[in-house]
Amino acid sequence: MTPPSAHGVIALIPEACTSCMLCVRECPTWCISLASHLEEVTEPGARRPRSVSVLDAFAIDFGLCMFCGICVDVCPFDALQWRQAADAGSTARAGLVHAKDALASGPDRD
Amino acid sequence: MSPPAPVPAERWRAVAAARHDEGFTYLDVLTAVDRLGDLDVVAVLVNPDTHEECTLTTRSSQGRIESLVPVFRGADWYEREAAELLGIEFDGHPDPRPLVAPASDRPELLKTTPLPARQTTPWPGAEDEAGARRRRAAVAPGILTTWTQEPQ
Repeated sequence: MTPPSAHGVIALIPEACTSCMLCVRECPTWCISLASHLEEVTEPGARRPRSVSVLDAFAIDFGLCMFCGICVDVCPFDALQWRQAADAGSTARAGLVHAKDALASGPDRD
Repeated sequence: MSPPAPVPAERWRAVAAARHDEGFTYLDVLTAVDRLGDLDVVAVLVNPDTHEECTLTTRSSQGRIESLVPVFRGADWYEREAAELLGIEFDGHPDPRPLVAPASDRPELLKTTPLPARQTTPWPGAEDEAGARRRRAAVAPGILTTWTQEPQ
């Protein structure tokens, strides 16, 4: 059981992410990678279609992450949050890179 | 850490000694900060009876500052580390030998010292397709254009 004082892991809420890439740019260890593309959304009655960023891929490399929380602080849409869970171990270096599904939000801290 | 109180460089040891006499007899940490052109020194003093903290900071004069070792014996290794990694000279330090790292051409933690791995690793924060319309600078923060591989 994770003690309440442990830092937990970092979770992503993909629906809240707008691919602004602030977390990617601010991360001191460059452990976050993000890929997105633009889509045009036409709405009935609107004069012209609007562009939306669609998140394709998001990953945090927990082998580089130092759990400083700068990404959580800086996200303007609160798409990144602390999650009370033990750090997932791995038998391979690549297993420490957690992609979108693995980062999906679970029980939150506090 | 309490907000740092600025101290003029010429009063560094005197102010630290005054705090010591007021009861802040334990030096928690002494370190230095590279302000890109200026080197600041920060000392956190603790009163072991009241557990109060007091943080002092000063700006070194061209990388030189008085050593606090005559007041706080614990400053010895902290100052050796700051001297080695940030190039600060502590006047009056009894034993200014390198402490931490193998010898190198230049202080490792100065912002002007290049990090070859950072220069060659692609930054994930550079443009992506959606970002092409954002026109953000595609240079990672902290990488200076003055970095070169050769020592100066």
